[in-house]
Amino acid sequence: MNKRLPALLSVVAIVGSACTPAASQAPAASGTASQPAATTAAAPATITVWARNYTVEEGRIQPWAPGPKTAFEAAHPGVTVNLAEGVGSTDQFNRIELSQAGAVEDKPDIFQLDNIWLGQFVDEGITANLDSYYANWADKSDIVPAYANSTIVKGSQYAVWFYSDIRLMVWNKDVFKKAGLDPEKGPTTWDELFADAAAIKAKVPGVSPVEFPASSEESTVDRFYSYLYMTGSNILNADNTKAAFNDAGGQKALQLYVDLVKQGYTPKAVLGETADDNIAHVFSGKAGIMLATVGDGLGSLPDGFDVAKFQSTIGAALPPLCAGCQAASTAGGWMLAINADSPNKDLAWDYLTMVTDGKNMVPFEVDRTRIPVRTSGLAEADAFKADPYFAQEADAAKVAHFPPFIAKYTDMIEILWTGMQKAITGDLSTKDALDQAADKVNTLLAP
Amino acid sequence: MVRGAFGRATPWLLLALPLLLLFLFLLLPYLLTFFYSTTGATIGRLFNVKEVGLKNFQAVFSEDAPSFISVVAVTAIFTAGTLFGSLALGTGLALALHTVSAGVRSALLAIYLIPWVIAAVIIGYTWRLIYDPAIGLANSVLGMVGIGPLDWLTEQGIALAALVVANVWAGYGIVLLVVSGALANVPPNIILAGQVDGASYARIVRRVILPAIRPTFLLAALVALVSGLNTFDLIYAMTRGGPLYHTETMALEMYRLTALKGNVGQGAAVTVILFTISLALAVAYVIIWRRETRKWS
Repeated sequence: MNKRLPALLSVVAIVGSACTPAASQAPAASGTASQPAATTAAAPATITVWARNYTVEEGRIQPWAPGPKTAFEAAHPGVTVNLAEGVGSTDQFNRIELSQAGAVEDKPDIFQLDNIWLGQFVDEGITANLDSYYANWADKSDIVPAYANSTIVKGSQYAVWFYSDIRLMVWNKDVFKKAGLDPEKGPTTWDELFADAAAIKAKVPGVSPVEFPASSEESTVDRFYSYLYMTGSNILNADNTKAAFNDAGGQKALQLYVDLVKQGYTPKAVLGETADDNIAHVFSGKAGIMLATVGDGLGSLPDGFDVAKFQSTIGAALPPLCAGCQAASTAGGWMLAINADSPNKDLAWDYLTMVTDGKNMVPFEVDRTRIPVRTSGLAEADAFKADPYFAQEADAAKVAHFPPFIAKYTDMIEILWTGMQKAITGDLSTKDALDQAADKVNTLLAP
Repeated sequence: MVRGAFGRATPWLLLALPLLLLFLFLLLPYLLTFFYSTTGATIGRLFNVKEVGLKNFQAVFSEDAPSFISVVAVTAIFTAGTLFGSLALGTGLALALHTVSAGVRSALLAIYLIPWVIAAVIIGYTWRLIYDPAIGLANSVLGMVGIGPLDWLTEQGIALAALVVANVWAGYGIVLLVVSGALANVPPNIILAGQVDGASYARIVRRVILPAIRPTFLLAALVALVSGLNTFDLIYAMTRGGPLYHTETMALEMYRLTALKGNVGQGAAVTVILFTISLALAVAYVIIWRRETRKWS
């Protein structure tokens, strides 16, 4: 036997480990692409649900169970609901895509999707057309019209809203007290924002006066939109074919970020931080103000916080306004869709509608500081008293905008956050950074 | 006769399972990666994909955020920094340990190897804390010598250097282990001869010890090189390739294109390029290694 062979194989193995490719792992993990045979209506069936991690968290209120699951299984003997392990946002996206590609064996009947993925999933044929279900659904009028309309893609319904969330500015009251500021009153204008930031910088050393996410991920743009919208700017034009964020309003909004960094009120470290990092800093008193977070932050409670401590530590309000601007916030949220390949679409629809029922969702929405998308849910005002800043969230909901649900949204936002980073680091002026990004987005969206 | 045939087959029988595993988990994924690099595969479409020839390579080379040249440059600087840092620190420590008694050496070696056995993600988060501009140890040390705080991981000029330091700390252990093993095999009489001739320890190291362990040193260098090229988790935990892609290596670029953008074809193209570079380095290593072993045999 050639003695060189083992040595050569060893070298190849060592070198091979240097190139462990994400791309090559996907096919290696592939199973069969086969789809289970269609289950007849009378046969036992399993409705598999792929949800986000925090909606199936043990020990916290879940919208899926026990109520809806028990009621559904009782109404459909022999049918069980399988709540698969919940995962984070990126993993949820990838497992849905991989399932569609046939690269993983199991497929969901129902899956939870971020509203920004809807356009892409419809384009890829992942989501079932729900027009026939909507046509016979008594509760469809219960969905707030702005939300019901937003699930229509190319003239058809492809999802049902699950819950929504709204962006608010939050601040740490203890930091405000130390800075000699009124802890119950956050800044309402950009001038006040800079004044408060100056006070914190002067009197509370070691604390970042203002933070916002600016790393290479989605929350960077999501938390920026409210400031973009308030200037009258928008992300794309009316028919979603061209960038609009590089107009004067967009430049003004981005200049706010640049000025906060330039004047030392926001550390450059935000370039490596996500929104989760920022909110953790506000809770811990490491940061004074976060320009925009999901809801009032109640859904991100760290260990050791209860609602009372939350209310005494954290303040929340609509994002502060620039001179001549109009109040604005951003709405995001999650929807439920039925897999186009599901053999049990009727059963899936039954369970999906039980889960998204307005009253069923309220306890979860209160617990996680989410906004109801149903009129019946919004009517449960007493329940939401547990959320100390629900009134502010309701106010923000009135002036909230949705990001565009376009197929190339995830590619577009990478271009946008890169442009934002170029301005924040000082590599380019806000105008040049946004113009450059707009050119790329226009190329991306060109037919 | 049967025994003879069996005897000849024994090495292959013993190698069969490792070879099968190597094929399934290394070569087959590579073959698939080569295939995908010429297709329009996305994370949502891995079968029945369209052939696109070399378009993925063109797209990778023409991308400007980040530009491929900058990704290659970052990878080269990070790898070279890791290589020389790990070799210097690992070899230096091994030589220092070589001067103490065997008992003390074993105890210290165990301590010095601790970073090497810790998961890179944990090391990454630990160093992220060390570099934290507000509460980190790095700025505290700078403060003691009268230097103002630095944004270690978000200042474009220093983020890559900060990562190299963390990766050297994570990876010098293997060099220390390999070089220590080689030092134990250096005949004491040639060191003694040098001492008798009045050579200083530094001169003995340069003229006697390092030439004696040269083949092993090459192996340590290859492992350190691979460690630099291979690093993903530590960089991801510390900077995720930022700020503005200034720490985006080819390993992160593969991940970004494949897992975050879902563009399997382009991610595979980057993998193929990285594989080609690695293969060239491996071939160079084999040639040098054979030349060295010939010298010593």
